[in-house]
Amino acid sequence: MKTNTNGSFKKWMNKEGLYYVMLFPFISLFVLFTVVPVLSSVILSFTDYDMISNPIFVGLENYARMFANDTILATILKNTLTFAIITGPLSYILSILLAWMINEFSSWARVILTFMFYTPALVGGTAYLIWQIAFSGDSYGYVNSMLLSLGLITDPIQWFKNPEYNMTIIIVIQLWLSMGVSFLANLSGLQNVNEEMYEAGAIDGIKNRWHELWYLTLPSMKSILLFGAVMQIQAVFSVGGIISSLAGYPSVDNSVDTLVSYIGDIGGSRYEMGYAAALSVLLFVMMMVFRLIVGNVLKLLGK
Amino acid sequence: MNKRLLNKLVCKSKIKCYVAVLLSIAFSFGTSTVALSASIGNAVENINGAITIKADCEISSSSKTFLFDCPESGEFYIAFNGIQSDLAYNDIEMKITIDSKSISDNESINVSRLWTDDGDIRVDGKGNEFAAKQKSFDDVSVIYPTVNGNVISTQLNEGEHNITLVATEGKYNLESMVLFPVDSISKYSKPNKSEYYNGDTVIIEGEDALYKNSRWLISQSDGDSALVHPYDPYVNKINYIGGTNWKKIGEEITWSVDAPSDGYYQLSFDYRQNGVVNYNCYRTLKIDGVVPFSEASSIAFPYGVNWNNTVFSDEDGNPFLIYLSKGNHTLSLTVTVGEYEKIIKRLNNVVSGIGNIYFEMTMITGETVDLSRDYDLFELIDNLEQNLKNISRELISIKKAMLKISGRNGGSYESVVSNMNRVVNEMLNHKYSAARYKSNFYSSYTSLSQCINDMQDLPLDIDRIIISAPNKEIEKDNVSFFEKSVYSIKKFISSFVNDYESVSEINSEKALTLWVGLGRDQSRVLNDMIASDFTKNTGIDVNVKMVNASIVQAIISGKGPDMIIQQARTEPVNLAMRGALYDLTNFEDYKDVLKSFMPGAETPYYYKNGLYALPDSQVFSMMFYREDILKKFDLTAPKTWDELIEVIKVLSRNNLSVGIPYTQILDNGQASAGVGALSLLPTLMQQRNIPLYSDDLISTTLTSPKVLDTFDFYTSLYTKLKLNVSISFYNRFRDGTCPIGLSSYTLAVTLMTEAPELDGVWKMSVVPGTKDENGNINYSSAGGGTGCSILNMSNHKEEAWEFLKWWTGAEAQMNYSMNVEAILGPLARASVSNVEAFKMMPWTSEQKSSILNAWKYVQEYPEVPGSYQVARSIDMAFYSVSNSNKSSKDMLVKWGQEADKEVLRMTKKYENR
Repeated sequence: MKTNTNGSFKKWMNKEGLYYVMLFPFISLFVLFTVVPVLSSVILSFTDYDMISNPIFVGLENYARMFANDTILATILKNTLTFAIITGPLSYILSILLAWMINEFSSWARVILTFMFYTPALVGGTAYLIWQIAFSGDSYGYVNSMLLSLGLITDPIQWFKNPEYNMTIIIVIQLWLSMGVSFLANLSGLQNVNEEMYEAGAIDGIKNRWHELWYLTLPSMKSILLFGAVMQIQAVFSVGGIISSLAGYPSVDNSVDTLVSYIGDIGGSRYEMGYAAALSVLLFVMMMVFRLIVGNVLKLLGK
Repeated sequence: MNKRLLNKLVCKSKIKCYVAVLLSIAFSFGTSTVALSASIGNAVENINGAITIKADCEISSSSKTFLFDCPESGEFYIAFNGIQSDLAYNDIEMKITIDSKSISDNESINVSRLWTDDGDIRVDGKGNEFAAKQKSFDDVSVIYPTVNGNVISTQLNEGEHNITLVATEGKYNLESMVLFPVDSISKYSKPNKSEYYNGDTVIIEGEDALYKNSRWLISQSDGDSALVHPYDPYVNKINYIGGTNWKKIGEEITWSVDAPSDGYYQLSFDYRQNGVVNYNCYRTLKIDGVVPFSEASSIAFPYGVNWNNTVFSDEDGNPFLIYLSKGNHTLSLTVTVGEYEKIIKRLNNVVSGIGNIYFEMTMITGETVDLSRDYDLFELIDNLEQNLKNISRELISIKKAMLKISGRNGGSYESVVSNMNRVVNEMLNHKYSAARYKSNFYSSYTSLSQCINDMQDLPLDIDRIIISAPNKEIEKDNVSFFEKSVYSIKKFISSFVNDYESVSEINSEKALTLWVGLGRDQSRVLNDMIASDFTKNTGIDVNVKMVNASIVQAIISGKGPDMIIQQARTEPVNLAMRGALYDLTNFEDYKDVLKSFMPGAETPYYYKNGLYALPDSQVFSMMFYREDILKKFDLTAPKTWDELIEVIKVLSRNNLSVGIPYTQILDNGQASAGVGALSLLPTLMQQRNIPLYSDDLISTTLTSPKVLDTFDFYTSLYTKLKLNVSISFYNRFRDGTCPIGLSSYTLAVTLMTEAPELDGVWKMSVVPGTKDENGNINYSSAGGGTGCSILNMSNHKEEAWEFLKWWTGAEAQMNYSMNVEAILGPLARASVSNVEAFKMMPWTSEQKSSILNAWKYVQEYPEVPGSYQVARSIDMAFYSVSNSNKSSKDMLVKWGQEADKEVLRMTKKYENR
């Protein structure tokens, strides 16, 4: 009996172990650079740490402050959720529809169109500065000068400094930017759908393209859709840098500040790492909740 | 043209001068031969027709008058013989009047100091070369006084006259003055072949200048090209002189030339002119201080991306030959506008006409033109049509003249002129809707003004000067393509190996470490100053590192510097409360050090009775106003806020405005500039004697009634009197639509350098004050600035304290500012905190007294934990009021409470650390 253990290990090694070995580099880096920081965030959130002296354990004080004592947090959460709920699904559906439409074209046209739509994300997230010129607050910004010359306004509008407008504009910019990875993923998912299913569907009574999309295409793409959804949630909740550079931090009346920029401020300028860690735990929890919701919605696909 | 030909006459007392004979021959015979022969002594006095006035006395702020007799009328140059000033760095400034009439239209006359390298090129530990420090070059006897770089000449009639000299800056000893006739420098005439030089080529390296008339004309290094001499791909070698510091009219570099034998020489230059695209830069050539012939008064250096060689020749390529006798001579090149002179004059006239029209337009239409209105500009403004037509005609003719000079189509200057012409024509073609073109008109007008400025910037780099036998082929080092590639590859490899981070090479244990977040140029300047001044005098080494990390990260890692400089205003208290900084009151002499700043300058850096930083810069606002425009409305500069409001009312009736711009906090970093630097509220509070914080420093006074009133007054400037919240005050001041405004005092430098058309027309004074019950006016104002500190984790605190004392001392502050100014231009001038340093900097005497007067009224508020929130609260409250028209008192109460909460929370948190 004692030789068996050796043998079965070797067998296991040949069968499955190899996969683990191949996964090992990624897993180790993942644990080191993603899991460990998240865990340490959770631990830090129970301390008060100002980066110069050692962390002091304070228990739930940060959380108490977050829920009871922070007046700005309410506005910020409202902004973050607005972004999430409007931009998230919209952008998601848009990217699916766009991928679906582009899929119709021949391969050359597809390449060009994909390139056109993917470029904003490709340029590393700095392309949004074009919008800054367009919506610039002096009379030479594109939108302002157009409106001025049409006579619709007499004074240039401070787009990013006015709480009435800046939210809408930033949502539009975010949508424009979000044709990113999930769009490509959807495109590849669409290409991998089994062609025979469409023929079978045509015989079995699929009435129109919309039916086909809902009952055939999307269910076969479930895993890709889930991937796209996760990426989207992550992207939408981490909108921070764009807002700070377009509307300034803090934006007027905190009207477009999100959780990420708030965390950046607390940690970066106020040196209160403990509280920032608590806020990031909050962000993490919010994202997990959304992930669960989205996962359940996707299960409904095709039903 | 004659005026520009002689920019400086210099005579080394021991060198034979050729001037006298040249000028006297040219003057008395009016012929064209240029025969130079020896003449010793003060050549200027020996010129035929020269009038010498003996002074032998000290000229100071009390004027001195001398009588003289002029034998024959004519136009005369003025030169000084033997002048010595007592100022350490500055040029001599004076006023000269003849028969009670100023010879320079009341503009200040300048006599430049001369500078030369103090010792050899300095080399650092890795072999990189740096230019030597500059020292005063005193071995000079004759100097020309200049106005804006141009030599002065004046018309004199036959008979007796008196001349009066007054020094506006400093005192100087003068031996004598010489007035000599303006001669027509004769034209070039080709000499006999027999007199040609035919020996070996003589090469003078550009970086080996004998002297220059600006302290910042230092030799430079170009490491990017294999065409420069000398070059090395691994280290920086000094190989040329010039660059962007050699571009203003009148700036001159002089070299020493040793001619092997008598004869006529050909002159050529290894140069690079990549500053002005598709245009030429000009230089005036002088041999032994005299322009040899009229063609030498502007040598053209055409544009080229790379180093090039040009022979001084005429359009057909025939070289102009210079006569040199055997022995030592000086060769000078002076910046001149050359053929652009007339064009610049015409453009200046056109631009002032355009400016007047714009001003009148604005008075009618206001800042934003209402598109649904017909303004009838051509009816309301006198002669508008005629003026515009004249302007258009003049612009077209100027453009033709420019094309003739540059010979190429489509240079940037020509397109600016075309654009202006286009807008003017649009207005002429659309008489009824002409007002719509106002913003177009304005932007073309500013481009045109900028273009005039740019045309007078003529940078040039000189690598070598070569004098050789005429028509001899200069062995060009034809650097082959292969060599160039090898050079580039070597440089690429060296970029992996070279250590670019540490600017100095010091590794000893006792060395201090200093982190700077500055650019390479500034770090180099700093390192130079430390090495040649601080380390030399105290023996303490300082390792300067260019690091782009925050101090907090340094402290976490435990590897920080010993001291930090130029921290934002709120940082010292922020770090001190966390225990990161060392209390400077532990040093016994700290009180003496504080005396060199304005009283109270160190207030923001106290925390709990400890002093954690010394101020190393201090900035504050002053009031700038345009006398010419105020005069039009019979207004004088307001002294109080009430008077300012009256001025605002008068100006707004004429669609003009007052510039009190507001700085919005746009990113995380800006709040750390401190409350005083961001808005006017702290200044107003200072003037009403209201503190910003409670006595125990745990809450603000923002919610108290007095502050609410002040805030209400402040915001009413924008809501009721409709001042603009965000404008470019500099631009509006320039075009006159904002003839009064408040701005940081460093705007004066911008105005001096970038807006020369406003010279003499603008003034600066202290901000308007507030009258109290007794009728006294309180002119206090709040300020901003930076500080330097010692870190607690340093092991060399005593040495670090020595460094801080040196860094905030007068010499270092002034040197750093001037050196950085030399590299980056006058706009980089620092607002120093050391009062002595400020007095040594090249402000005019009038500006100096205004600024010092305002400076002594500056009061600083303290900094407390959580003070960033105070700045933010004021910002938020202000914006809610100005944007959404909410009630100012409500907003300030709401945000003031936020600030109070934050300050209390932070103070309590750090109470016991």
